[in-house]
Amino acid sequence: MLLVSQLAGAISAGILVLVLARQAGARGKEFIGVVALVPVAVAGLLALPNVTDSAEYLLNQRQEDVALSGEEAQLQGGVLAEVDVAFIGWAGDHFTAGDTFWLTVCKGTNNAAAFQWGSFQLAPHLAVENPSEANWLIFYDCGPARYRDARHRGLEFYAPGFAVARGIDAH
Amino acid sequence: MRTDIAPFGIDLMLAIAGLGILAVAGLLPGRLSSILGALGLAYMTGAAIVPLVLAALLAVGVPLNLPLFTVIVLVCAAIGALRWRPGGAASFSISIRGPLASWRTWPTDTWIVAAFCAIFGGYWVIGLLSTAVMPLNGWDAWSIWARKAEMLTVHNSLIPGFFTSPSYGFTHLDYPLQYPIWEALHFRASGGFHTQMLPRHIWLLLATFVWAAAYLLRNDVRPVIWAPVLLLVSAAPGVWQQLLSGYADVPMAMFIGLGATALGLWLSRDNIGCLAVAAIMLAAAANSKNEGLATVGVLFLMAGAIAVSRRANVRALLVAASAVAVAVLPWRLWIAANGIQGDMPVSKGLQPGYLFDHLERVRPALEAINAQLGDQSRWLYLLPLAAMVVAASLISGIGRRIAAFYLGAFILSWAVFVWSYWISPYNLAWHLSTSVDRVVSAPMFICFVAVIHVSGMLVTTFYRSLKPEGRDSDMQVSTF
Repeated sequence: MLLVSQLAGAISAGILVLVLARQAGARGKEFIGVVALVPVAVAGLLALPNVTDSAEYLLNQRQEDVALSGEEAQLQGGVLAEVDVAFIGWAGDHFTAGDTFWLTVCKGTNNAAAFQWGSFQLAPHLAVENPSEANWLIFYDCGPARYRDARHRGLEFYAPGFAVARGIDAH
Repeated sequence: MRTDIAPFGIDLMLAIAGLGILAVAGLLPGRLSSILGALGLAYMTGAAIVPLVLAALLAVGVPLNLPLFTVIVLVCAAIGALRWRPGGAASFSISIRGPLASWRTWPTDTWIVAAFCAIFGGYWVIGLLSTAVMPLNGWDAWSIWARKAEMLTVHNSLIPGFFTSPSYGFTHLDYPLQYPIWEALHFRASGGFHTQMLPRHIWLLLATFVWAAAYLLRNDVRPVIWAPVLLLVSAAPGVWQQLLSGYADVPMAMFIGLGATALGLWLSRDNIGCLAVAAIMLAAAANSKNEGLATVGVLFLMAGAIAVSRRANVRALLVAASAVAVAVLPWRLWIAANGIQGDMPVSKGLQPGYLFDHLERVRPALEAINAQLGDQSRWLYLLPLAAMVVAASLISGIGRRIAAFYLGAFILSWAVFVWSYWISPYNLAWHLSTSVDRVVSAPMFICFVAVIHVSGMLVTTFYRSLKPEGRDSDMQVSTF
């Protein structure tokens, strides 16, 4: 309804302008073109305040962002998605060129974020679907039952529930 | 240093490629001093056509690298240099009589253009300062687009471990590669995957879009009309905030907007150069996202209907549409050959039974889309203003067919998006919450250009009706 009322209001405004023009003595279909002055006037009225507001927002945003180091900025997306970016970075430090990984996210309400950001942060290393095909196994917020089978693969913990283990051909 | 400076070299080269294409299309002024005015359109043209060519070559196995990019740019520039004819009247310059002419003699249009450049320029510089330190935080910005760009930066082919891997299905493997290739070119130039570098180049797109739109419409719309409207467009949060999110929706919508403008100009002036630019822009839009492909189809459909009604050169339009189809074909064939399927059950969406079974999705989709279109905190009343001028045009008959083109394109693209939510396999609430604010960008950009183009036609006719005996000296300015 809001959109319909806005459109109706705009067309009504155009009709009012036409009525005014007709009352001023304008004739012929060309005078209808006077309606086009309304968008110009409205744009002129709204543009400067909005440019000012937008510029102010951008300057304030810069104030916040300038405090970030290059590395922090690179990881900011994961931080905002509430992913443990430090663990992902720690896991990635084990990799050598060309290594693949299998990432499993066990708990939490943000599993999609953890997997998507984790695989992004570890790129260009590639994620694989099958753990038997991965050079490294990464356990993100998992219980002991999840990584029991990996104990013989050099399971290494970053924190309880956060661990990596060697997969096939990993050094 | 390389991280910050070298990617601007990519932008410069894209502009050079675009200048070559514009010269071939006959849209490049004959005077060097006037070429500055065409730079915005040149950049958008280069940013459209070069990734298109690279994407097609990738699909057939040609490796992506900077030497290949350079060759493509040089070919475009060389062809344009052969075609370009120096001389002729200045078509895009500030008319100043004499090198030390008093500013008091500047025509009104020149003052307006100068004021626009000062205001928009200041705004853009502030945005550049902000984007110089801005991280790339938008979810799809890093998860889909920058991720694909990184793969194209590290590898020079469509490696199966990523581009066909089910592990990465969430990145919409069927999405075309226009935007990731554009990003990857910048990453390659910077020497690494530095995502913080990207927002400043994304911000450049705002300037080049505004610049390009003004240049395309310079002979049909006076600065007093396009300047405030383009300023309002650039300040609309639905434009700049979305642009800086790093998602592909607004860049795609910019190609849509410029393509629609060029199509509208072709319909009104039968300028083949405009049709060529339209084809390039719309091919880029179709190669950006699947929504772009749908909107491009709608634009050509409406242009065809208007062209038939005007007995315009329909054959030329068919050639342009075919060129767009050929441009997007390599990617479509590649995903088909690799068994990659899109999310949308398009064939089911044409079955009455399926549509009836999912009828309950229509009303929420309609309400959500209309709520976004009616959110004037984002779009600053540009849609109601477009409705006003389009209605005036339809009633008066001044530029009626052009207005009908924009109106039909807007309504049909709106209908396509309602249909897409209708047939979508996703949970509707989730799908709407994560996308509806973005999908309206493409129809809104059609709306923006409608406001400018149709207002221009109406005001010109109105002005001429007031001064039928001739034009005064103020109007004899070379328009910007």
